[in-house]
Amino acid sequence: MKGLVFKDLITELHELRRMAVFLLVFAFGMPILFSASSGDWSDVYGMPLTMCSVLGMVIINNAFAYDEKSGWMQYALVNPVSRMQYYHAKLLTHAINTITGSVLGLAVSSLLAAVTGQMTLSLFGQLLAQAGATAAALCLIGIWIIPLFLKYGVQKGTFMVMLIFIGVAILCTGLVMISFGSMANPFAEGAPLWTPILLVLIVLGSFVTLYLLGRKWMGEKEF
Amino acid sequence: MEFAVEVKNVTKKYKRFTLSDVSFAVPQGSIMGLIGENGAGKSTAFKAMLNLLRKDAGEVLFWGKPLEDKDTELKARIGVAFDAICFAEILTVKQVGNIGKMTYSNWDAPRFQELVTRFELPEKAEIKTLSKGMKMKLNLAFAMSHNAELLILDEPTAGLDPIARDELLDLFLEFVQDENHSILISSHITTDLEKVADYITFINKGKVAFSKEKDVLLYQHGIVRCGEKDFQLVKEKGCIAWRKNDCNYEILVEDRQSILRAFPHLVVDHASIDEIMLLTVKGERA
Repeated sequence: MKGLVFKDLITELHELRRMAVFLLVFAFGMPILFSASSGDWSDVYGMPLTMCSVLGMVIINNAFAYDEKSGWMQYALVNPVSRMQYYHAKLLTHAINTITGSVLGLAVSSLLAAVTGQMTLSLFGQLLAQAGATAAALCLIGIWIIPLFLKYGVQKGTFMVMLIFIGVAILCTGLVMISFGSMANPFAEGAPLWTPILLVLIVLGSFVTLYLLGRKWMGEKEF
Repeated sequence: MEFAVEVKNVTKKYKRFTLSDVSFAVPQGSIMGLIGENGAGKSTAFKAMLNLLRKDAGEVLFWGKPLEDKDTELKARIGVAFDAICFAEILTVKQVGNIGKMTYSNWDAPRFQELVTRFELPEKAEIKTLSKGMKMKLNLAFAMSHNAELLILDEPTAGLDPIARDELLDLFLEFVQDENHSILISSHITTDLEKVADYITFINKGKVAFSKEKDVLLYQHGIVRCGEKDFQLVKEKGCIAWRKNDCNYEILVEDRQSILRAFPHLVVDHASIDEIMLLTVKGERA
């Protein structure tokens, strides 16, 4: 499994070099540009963090694209690697990517705050919490992405991820609408307890279902 | 006799093709050549052996044990090279070696280095910059650097020049010097197999046409070239297949010696693997 993760990481690192300009523009340029144009600098420190985290999430596409092109998966499975190890290695790679993206984002955001003389302990605490939450959320989204990419490939898989995302969003919105009669914050004080519980169950259910489907698809995959 | 791999009655059905009841066995310490035209089922047989597709029937035993997906120890005893390199083209030769080191607990880094040097593979070059022959050599270097006892090679010499092919064939012969080592190799280049293989298995339209010792095959089989009158006589005596050329017949016979004894006036040449394959596939049958 180490070899699989290592292979993915060096492939992604290669791509990251190509994406360096893109990363620079999105992590540094865009937040500064947005803040300068709106005159609101309050969120300038959070944006690089989000951008880097999202880049960390999407870079797994490159690893899958190279795998598809070279026929790596079938070769990996004739090495001392089981199908489940392959599946879990992809999930692990994705987790490493998103955590690295968030850590990098945290560093960039902190640097930006330090350079502009705005860094305080409280701001760092906020950024740290945001980095943790983003990394955790994006890691979980990997449980949607990986099975669908394994089953449908990168192109169709990306489309399927969006479908799942929209499906879950519609379900959750529908539930809130039914509970409150209009859009409202289901986590607000005084709201009935069953709504947030159901919302969490829907989201967690989608993760568990996709994870189990991923295991099934991987076990049945033929080459 | 101990077998490195035994394929028993393997069947895999597709809509337009069926690998039907395929059986053969590779004795330990030998090289078996798998031959057949394109689409005959060689690659499907390999994939069925390696659990890359689900078999509809039959079993495959490696050293007497079925290959389970989770049995990574058994998998580590097998080295595989497909007909195209399966590493991302942006990886370098050195990085491929590092992947091997991280994947195999029994990775032999000095052996990989030795093969890279022997094949003159530039370590820092990305795979996409390598020629087809070099890519295949890298494939083989990877498959042969973890002390595998069985090599399964799908068309390893395809697209290589005669010198590179000869170099690889020497390497295969070196590999089986150790009696515990065996090779199963598919190839269209039957002359290569004539040089190195101990056994030949011929798959035609998804079925095993024959699986025999190469020397027996080449010694026993013969090609009779004769006219219409002799053709009828030889046909009655027993032949596998025949083909009519402009004014004579080419007849593939299974027992060259008996035909020679029965028809001393006829010329019965030794049959090459190519001729056996060609006449079996394209020839007419009784």
